[in-house]
Amino acid sequence: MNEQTAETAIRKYIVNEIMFKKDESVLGFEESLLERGVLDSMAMVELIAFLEREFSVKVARTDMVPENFDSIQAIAQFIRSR
Amino acid sequence: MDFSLSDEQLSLREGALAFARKELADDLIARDRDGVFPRDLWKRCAGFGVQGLPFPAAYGGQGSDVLTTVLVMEALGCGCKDNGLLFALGAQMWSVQMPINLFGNEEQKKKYLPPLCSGQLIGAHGMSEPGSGSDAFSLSTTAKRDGSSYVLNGAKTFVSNAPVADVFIIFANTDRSKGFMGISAFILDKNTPGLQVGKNIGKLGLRTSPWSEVVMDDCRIPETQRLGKEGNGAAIFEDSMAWERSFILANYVGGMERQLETCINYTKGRKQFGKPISKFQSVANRIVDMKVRLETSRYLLYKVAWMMDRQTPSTLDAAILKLYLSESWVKSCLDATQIHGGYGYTTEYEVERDLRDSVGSTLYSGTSEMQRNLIARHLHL
Repeated sequence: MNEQTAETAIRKYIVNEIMFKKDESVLGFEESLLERGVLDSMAMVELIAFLEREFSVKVARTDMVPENFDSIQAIAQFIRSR
Repeated sequence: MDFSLSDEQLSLREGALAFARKELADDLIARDRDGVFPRDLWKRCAGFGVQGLPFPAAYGGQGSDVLTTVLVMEALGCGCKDNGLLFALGAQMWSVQMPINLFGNEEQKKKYLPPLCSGQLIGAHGMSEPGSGSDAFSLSTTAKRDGSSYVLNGAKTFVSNAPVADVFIIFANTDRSKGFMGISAFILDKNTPGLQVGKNIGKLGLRTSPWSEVVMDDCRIPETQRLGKEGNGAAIFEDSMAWERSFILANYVGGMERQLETCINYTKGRKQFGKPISKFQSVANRIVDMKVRLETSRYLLYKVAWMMDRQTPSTLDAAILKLYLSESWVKSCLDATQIHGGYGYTTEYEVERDLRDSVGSTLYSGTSEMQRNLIARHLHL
């Protein structure tokens, strides 16, 4: 999966499955998911399951920090670093 | 799945049962009445190796796998009637030692794990606050960075072991704007200036396990006392809850076995209307239900331990185990009381204490309601 599609796939999942919206433009790649309240602890469990399934990565508990999950861009970079 | 136990595991389980029957029996009726924590028994448990069971030998532990650990906890529950002591042990092992083992740096592991394993130190875990329980991440306690220090302010409540603890894991907000990822975990020593431990809070059961409030008033600690990265607190808490949810009730499987044996012996010995009351179907049915709950709880426990040993933890299975085992324990305690009739209601027969102790199991480490929520989420409800 190329860099742009990682961001796109993550945004599509978050907008559709966590925010329950259809228009993906409601969420920017650099927007803070935590400050906007998009990502809470319940949603995090689902997001991690998605990332592990979609990108074949293992997300450890020690990875669950803002620098890796505060935005779609941060998540995509974290995935690429694995 | 293969739950056949090795000779070593069987031997250790037998040894733990014998140890508990011999070394952990004292005047529990009086200690329960007075709410006395048994520090001497705590040290005996450490001498047997209980607190160090699942932890690496390099840090003073036994290096046992998870299934072996729960077999020992189960045996202790069968041989020892002090549910409060066993609860206190579990609280330290799963929610203090385990997060230090998994998230601590080398220095923290070397400093804290050996004395926690040896019984020299007692640990407590502070998350719940007066305003946040099941909604754990809405906590108010703050930790403000000040140079190379953090200054903690806030109050924790229902902190198990706190009145006797030497070391505390405390969760606090380091950046409220980041929501649940603005929470960090810290290790505090009891003599840290500004740390105040309240008096034991009286409760229905588990009275030999003290708990209290813990207040941080401008409590300054060096940043080296942070556990894990800044913002990693929620994950650390979730991880320790996964361990606690899975295994803090392991002793109750043994407790149900002990209770079953007691009830069988009692009903065979007590005669009414010219025959042992075990011959009355309404009494026998209760005992059958106790046996079914015991065996089903045991296999759920072993399954979750087996999964943990293979590093395939399952939130769903752990939630099912916690929900089922806690509610089975309460039901079996009620059955045991009913089977003993008026005697079961007396302190002397030591049946009512199990019942009082059991109620908390549906509350701590995530209420039954929260376990049902977790299960419902897995069912996409």
